[in-house]
Amino acid sequence: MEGVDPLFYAHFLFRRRRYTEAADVCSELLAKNPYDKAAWYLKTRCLTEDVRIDETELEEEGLAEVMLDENAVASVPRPGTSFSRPLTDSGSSRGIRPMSKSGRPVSGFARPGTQGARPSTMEAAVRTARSATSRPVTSASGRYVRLGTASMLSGDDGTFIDVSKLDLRKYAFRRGLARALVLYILHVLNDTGKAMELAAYATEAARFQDWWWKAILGFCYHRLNLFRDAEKQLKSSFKQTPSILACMLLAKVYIRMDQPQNAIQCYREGLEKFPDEPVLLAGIARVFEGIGDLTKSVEEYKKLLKVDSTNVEAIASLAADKFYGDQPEIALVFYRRLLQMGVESAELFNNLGLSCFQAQQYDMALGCFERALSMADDEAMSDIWYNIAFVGMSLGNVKLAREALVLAVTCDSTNGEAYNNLGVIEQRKGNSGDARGHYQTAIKVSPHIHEPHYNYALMSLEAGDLQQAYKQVNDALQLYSAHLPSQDLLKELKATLSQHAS
Amino acid sequence: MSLFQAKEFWTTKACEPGTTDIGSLVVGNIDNNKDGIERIVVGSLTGDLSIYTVAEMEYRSEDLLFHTKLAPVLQLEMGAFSSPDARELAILHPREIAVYTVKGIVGQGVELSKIFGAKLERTAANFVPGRFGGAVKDVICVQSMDGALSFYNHGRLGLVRFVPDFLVPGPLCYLQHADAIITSSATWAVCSYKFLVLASAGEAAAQRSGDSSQRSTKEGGKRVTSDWECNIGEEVLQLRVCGTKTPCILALGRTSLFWIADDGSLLRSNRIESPLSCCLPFRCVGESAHVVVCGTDGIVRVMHDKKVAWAAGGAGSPVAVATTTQCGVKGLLTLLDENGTLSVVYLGTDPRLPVLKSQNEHNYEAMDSELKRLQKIMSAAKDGKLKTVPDAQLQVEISDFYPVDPVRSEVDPSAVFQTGLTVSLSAPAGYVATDVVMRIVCERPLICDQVAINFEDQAIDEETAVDVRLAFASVVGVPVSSLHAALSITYTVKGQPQTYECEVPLPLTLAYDVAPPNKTAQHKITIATNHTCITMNELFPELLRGHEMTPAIGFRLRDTDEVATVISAKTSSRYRIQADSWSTMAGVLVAVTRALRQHFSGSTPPLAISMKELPSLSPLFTAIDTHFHIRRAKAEMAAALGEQATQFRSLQKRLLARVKDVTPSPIDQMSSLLEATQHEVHMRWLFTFDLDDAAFHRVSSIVSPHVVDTIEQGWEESTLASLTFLISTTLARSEKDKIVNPGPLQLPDSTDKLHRYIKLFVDRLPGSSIATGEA
Repeated sequence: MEGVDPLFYAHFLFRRRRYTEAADVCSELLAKNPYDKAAWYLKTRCLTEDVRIDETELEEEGLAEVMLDENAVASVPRPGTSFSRPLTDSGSSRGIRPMSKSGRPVSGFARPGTQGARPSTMEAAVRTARSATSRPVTSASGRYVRLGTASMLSGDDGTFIDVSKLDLRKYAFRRGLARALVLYILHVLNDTGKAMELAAYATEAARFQDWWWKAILGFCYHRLNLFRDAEKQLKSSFKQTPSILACMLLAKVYIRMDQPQNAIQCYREGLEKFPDEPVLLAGIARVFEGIGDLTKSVEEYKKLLKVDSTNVEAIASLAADKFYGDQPEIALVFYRRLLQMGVESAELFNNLGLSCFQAQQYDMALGCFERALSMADDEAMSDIWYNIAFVGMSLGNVKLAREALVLAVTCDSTNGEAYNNLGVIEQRKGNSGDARGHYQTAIKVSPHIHEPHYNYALMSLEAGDLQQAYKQVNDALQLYSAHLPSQDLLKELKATLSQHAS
Repeated sequence: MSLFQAKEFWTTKACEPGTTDIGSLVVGNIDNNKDGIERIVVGSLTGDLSIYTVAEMEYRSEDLLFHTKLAPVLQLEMGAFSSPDARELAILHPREIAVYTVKGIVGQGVELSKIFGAKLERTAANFVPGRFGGAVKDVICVQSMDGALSFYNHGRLGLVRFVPDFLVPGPLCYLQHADAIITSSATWAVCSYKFLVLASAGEAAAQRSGDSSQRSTKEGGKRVTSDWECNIGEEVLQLRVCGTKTPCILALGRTSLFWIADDGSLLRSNRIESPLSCCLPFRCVGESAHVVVCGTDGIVRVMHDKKVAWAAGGAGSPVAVATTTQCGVKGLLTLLDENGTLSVVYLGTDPRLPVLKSQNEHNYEAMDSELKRLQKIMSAAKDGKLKTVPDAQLQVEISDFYPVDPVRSEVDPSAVFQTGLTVSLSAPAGYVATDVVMRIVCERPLICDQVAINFEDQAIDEETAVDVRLAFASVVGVPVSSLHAALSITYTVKGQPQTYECEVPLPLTLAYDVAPPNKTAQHKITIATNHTCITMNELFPELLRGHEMTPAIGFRLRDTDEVATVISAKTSSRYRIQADSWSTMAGVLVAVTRALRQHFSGSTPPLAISMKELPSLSPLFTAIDTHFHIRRAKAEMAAALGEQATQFRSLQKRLLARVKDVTPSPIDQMSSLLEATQHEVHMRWLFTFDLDDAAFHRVSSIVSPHVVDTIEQGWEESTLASLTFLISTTLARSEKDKIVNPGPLQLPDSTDKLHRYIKLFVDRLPGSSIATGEA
């Protein structure tokens, strides 16, 4: 830019979030004067902001972290005290609300960490959320994928900052530079150990009076999976100067430690200092959702909507709740609002279609499904076909239902619900062999749903195979103890068996 | 995401894209006109300065009142710089600060006249006007790129003071009632500097010489110290004074809005989950205030304290915002966005109508007929009536076996490839096969030098034929149970996948050598035919070429002493196969029956082979039991391996814990324990995987002789399952037997049930539909 000081221009570009250009201008400045602190600071900031992921955002936990977790206190926690053991009988029942692949009630909004409950076995962990590849093997490789671009960026003119050569103790006293540097080490170099070292020195240099450094130190500990130390630092930070950052990081640490109640408590404390803060309200709602307490989750989402009526997550969650709470008309209103707000996705049209169908607006329903199909990827496609099959079945069009279900399992061969319904259709047609095969597949690919067990039991009973029926109905009840038809069937079976015995 | 859209009232392209900043926009009655019409002044980094007026709802070229080109414009402010009530325009250039009056000329727009200007010593970053120290008119405080605050009163330089801990210039604002300049530093804190403190700080502070200690002590002046600091932990983009009853400061961070009281305490903070760019407080009544917050996501949020009172999307990416009253409409927003577009918008109340991608109109009739056609095919496929075999096929020719140069197998060094054959693939005219993949499957111990051949890009058509040479060998010392290789070829013709499958009979000499016959043997099998016996020279002509006529031939399993002998009876039409072990006989029996069939093919009556007496089942059961025990032992070993692995892992964990420990205690015997465990784990691995070459038996085709053990499923289960199925279906004696749901396949507790079922199967087999060949 002509006539404008280059440093001013770099700062201007940085403020306008044109990081790459800004970094280039800084590089030129640094080439002229390598000791230009302001340019060094700006370049560090640009490179960092370019790749920075919000520290407070929850990440998908890696396979290794979940399975080799040493922080869980109890191996068999009580319901509601752990993400791996959600409350089973609160909110809407399992019979009505579908589950995600790992057996957590489907929420209205997908974000990292909401998809899978903590699995209890390796097998379940691998299978979590649709396909084996969805969960990164460790978060160290999965989450920081963007690292590659960062190192390439700095690779242009050699490594920008070689941290191993810096005297971190000295930098800790340069208050401005240290902050930029620590974020650079964390986000660009991804060297948590060094970042922690710098944070520790800086905390000391600030005479333990700087909440920000304590929060960053806590974040570093968290990255290193030293949750107890992280908790200590973050608590201290929050106590000294309440801040949303520390509060959210602390809650994140509790979530990683599988202590949902503490996380909720932490959010509540944050809300005392920052009343009606949307991100904290959303945090509570997510944790409640995670432990299966859907009633409370919906309460929090409602509070959130009162503060910020444009929150998409809250609207979607409320819509899902209303839909499964047998109020499809209200759900339809919420979904329509989402559509008006500019959300356009296969999932939304799918939900709209279902709500329309349930609210008996049949003409709209199929149109919505058609649109959803045109936008869907494979995974969503399977669910949409499943729903079309459901519509077909409800309308008595078994042929449509069967073909839609076959398409559903073609798109996603792990769609257990589709296999189950396919089994029901085959059973009704009298093909008990095919039906049995479908039920067994359903049980195999989705061990968390109880319907195929119940259906299999019913079929076995009809065929006179009491032992198989007894086994399957018990399995069904183990998965969902409040399932009335299963209970009745078990009673009947017991009566028959005792008759035989006597 | 927002329900409502910002509605355009008036818009124009004001300057080049990417040249506008947070201070590039000023809205107000800058030319002091009588009607109080607010003009819009826009400056840009390219030096374009434009003044607009809004006459009606649409932009007309007359709306541009004034345009000129100056040095780059960094910031614009309106203020009373020459007299207490004036409205003048201050423009900051990189090296100059200038104040202009704007005068309206009837019918010719406006004109600018410079009142005063001052050249700047240092490169400027930004400035703030204010009545510092109780001045009656606005004084300009310019912040330079190196952190000097210079105060200009009517174009004369007054104070120059340096901001401590300076790195890059932060935003400025002036808090009137506290007479303090608020700024934010690279330490990500909002700091307040009282004007009095600045003024009374040593003159020497102006001389930016060396480090701060020198400044404060040597020169004798007071250090500039901040009144208060509020550590917010984020870079500040903009600072604004919010005119509530007790004024507070709004600090706009990257994703948060902070409300700071005039004593430096954080009142509240709002986190907004989108990158923010500018904010503007307005209508501050009592303690509550409205703030317009714009972000890069194109949504204008109107916050009422903490709550989002209104949100309107589609506002582009504004960098500066101001409220304005135009054409008598109050509460309009003036937005200047990154692309240099200047627009006056109002917050519409119509919900946005979703603009959906138009879908093609469906031709329902065509779709119906297509569906019907497809359904016809589907139902035909279900009934098995669909014609799947195409008219023409890939032609596969398999040559006879011929000797090849011996090559040792890489898979198993004891096997040497000595015989081979050629498979020729060709296509009839007008036929093109692509994606050709050939797979060859042999049962161990027989192996083929190729497992799968992928021709990839090579298409086979009438001009291109492909010859594939395959070589076969047998692993030495293991009895052979079958003598054929399965060949399967998959290819695509006109987008349709096709397959070709065939079985290639393998010669007995792969695994056996001809040897002198043994007269005596422990086990014997006698088979009877309906033709007169032939000599061995007739039966195996290629093996006994040039030999005397002999009724007996021996086959030695290569590299072992086990010999199976085939003897043809002199009078009756029987053949006897005898050997010391049952397993040796398996391959020979296959070869004999094959040779018999080949020899008598086409003869009348057709050859029938039968066996008068059944061999005893006990050796089979013994073999099954042995195999079963091996599998049990293997399972136990796997369990032990699991335990060892757990121990290994916990040892690793303990070691890791030691590594983490700040004061490590001695590692004691851990390393040796770790080594021992690891050794044990490895040993067990070796044991576990070497155990698989168990028994091979002669059983009929239903009770498969191929022992394919995987971790999940073994021979016993699958055989048991197929037997159970057969007994309950084809071989069922009563209707009651038929209803059995097969259970999952698991390693059975004992082999009793299997024994029982095999006996049952052998008992029922004669006379059943399987034996008589009826489907």
